[in-house]
Amino acid sequence: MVARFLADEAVAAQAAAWAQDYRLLAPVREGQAVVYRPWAPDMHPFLGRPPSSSAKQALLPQTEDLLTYTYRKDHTDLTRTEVFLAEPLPPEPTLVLGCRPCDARGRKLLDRVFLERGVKDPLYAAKRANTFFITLACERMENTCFCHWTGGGPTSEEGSDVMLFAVSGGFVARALTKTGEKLAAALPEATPSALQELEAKLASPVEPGPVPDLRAAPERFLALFDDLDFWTDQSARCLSCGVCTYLCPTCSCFNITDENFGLKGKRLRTWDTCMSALYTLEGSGHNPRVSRAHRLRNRVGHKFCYHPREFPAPDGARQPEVSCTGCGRCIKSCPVAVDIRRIVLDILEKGENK
Amino acid sequence: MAETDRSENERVARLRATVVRELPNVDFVLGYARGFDPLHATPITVRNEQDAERLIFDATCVENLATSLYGLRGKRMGLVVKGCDSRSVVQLLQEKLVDRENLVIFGLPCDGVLDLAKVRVRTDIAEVRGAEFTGEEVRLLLPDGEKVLPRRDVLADKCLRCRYPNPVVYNHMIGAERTPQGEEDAYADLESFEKLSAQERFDFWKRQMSRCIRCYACRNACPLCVCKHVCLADSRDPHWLSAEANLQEKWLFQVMHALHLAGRCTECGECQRSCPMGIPILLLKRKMNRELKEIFNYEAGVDPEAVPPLHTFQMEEDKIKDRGQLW
Repeated sequence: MVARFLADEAVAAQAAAWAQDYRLLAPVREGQAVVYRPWAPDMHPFLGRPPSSSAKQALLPQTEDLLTYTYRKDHTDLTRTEVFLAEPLPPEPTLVLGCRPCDARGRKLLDRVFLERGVKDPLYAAKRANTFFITLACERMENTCFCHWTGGGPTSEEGSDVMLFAVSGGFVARALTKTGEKLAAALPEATPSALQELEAKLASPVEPGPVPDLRAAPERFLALFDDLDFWTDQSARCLSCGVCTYLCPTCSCFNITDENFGLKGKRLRTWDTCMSALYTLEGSGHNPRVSRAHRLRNRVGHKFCYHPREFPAPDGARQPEVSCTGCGRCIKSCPVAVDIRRIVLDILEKGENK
Repeated sequence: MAETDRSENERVARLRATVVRELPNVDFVLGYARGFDPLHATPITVRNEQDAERLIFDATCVENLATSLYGLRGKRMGLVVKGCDSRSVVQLLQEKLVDRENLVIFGLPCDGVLDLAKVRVRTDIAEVRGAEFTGEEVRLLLPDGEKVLPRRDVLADKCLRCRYPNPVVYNHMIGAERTPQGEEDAYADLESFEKLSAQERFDFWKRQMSRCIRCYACRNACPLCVCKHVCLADSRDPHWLSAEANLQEKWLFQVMHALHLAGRCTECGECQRSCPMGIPILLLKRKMNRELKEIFNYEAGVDPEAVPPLHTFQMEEDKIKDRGQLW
């Protein structure tokens, strides 16, 4: 497969061309944030820094209709009511332009939850089969980045259909899948000089910091599970808001609610957050995760203990599979700078002597 | 080392020593430690001398630690506050939401804190390696060299108009009192916003709120938003808000938040600073505060003995002339 070239000034026009065949989501700058928006004629895709929100929304939107319903009263016998259900329309083919490798890798971890746990989630499966990623390789690692802890890296290809690599004047595009080839086919071939530049860049990759051995994390997490002082100190900073979970490319929890409007309504699936007290509030009024400490413990535990225990890495693997791609959004956007890396390092250190 | 650096280092040493002296009297002290990079501070619980060594205080200490007070009520705790944060404590005391006897307040006169959004506009700080703060400058060590920014350009808006740099309530005042630099708030931002037509303002909020992800960081970061998870934004019964991510639901919450804070909000700005989507929601609270100032000549969180105007009533209000319609 030949490498293609996407010139900086051709990005908007190419996005428009792709948008004819796909629902195109691309990052745009809005105020201080970079958010994914559906394509619009006046859109200027912004690829300069990683988007504030994750590309998860293409597969698991903030809210989606699971079904709509209508009640109809029987006028001859008012005690009888019939319910009519309508399924949502099948998802449009969707193309995400300009996500980063950590976002694209999130797909695999969402698949674990929605496709590989015995029950296939039909809505997710339909979206998953019809959503494609044009990923921009990273040229550097920000202070909040730690993809290399989780088996990824600034140029990881996992989960992407096309990879873009920044070179002078634009991007070299490499197709990685059949759909990727189709998407890239419209682009001109990359010039030898662009390829040379790319090769030189790839030959001197960014040097990420040291990686802790995470294999002991699940066990040490469990050793610390009941040490509430440890968790209280870790969560002293936590506000119990939903920033970390909603921006996370792998957090998959959702809530289902019926929104009634008279005799009509819809059943919605909405992002949920384990940081909220309501997440585990039981009908009786009892709440097993009564404090911020309990809830933060769950988020860290899910990603670095429960997930690797449920999906063990093959024997001899250097790192466990964790439910985190190291995008660092939970660190960067946390109002009080909670650093999940620090918590994991503290678990590794303090859990050892438990 | 510059003069200011030296005195600031001494001040942090004094803070640590004072905190250690008070540790036997409290369960823990909430203060600031260095966060994940030189431009971020993060709150910590100090339980022993070793923890106290991690305490810092500088222009990165943006968080309002009073936000944790209500959730931790009942504990005997120490709290590190800036001038603005102390106003939240005053408001909580006025509303009897915390017990003064349970609090040991370490007050730090403040020279203003950074608005990282303003820093980001001026330079890329995603890989910042070091930061130094002097009276006039912010010196950043970046991968490609040093970048010096005038301090005034990157201070939070609230600091530029701050008239309470010195904590108004405290047990220990640590550091020399600052002379207030801010002038009477003229609400210039609000004035210019209100010059827009109703349609333009509505379009502005529609655009801004469409980014909202309903994470409720704004609510949870608010020191006075004490309903937290029994908030009516979360209530299913009564069903005030649906779970949909549409403008109506998002907007209703913000309007409600602003109204519930009328006469209580001290404009610490944590709601806006916490928003991961950069939505300028403080503007709504400033609107309410200006009204309160005009009608009741009241400023929240300044006097522990004062009664907030919406916590009381008078038969005859000076500036409210609607009595004739009632009876």
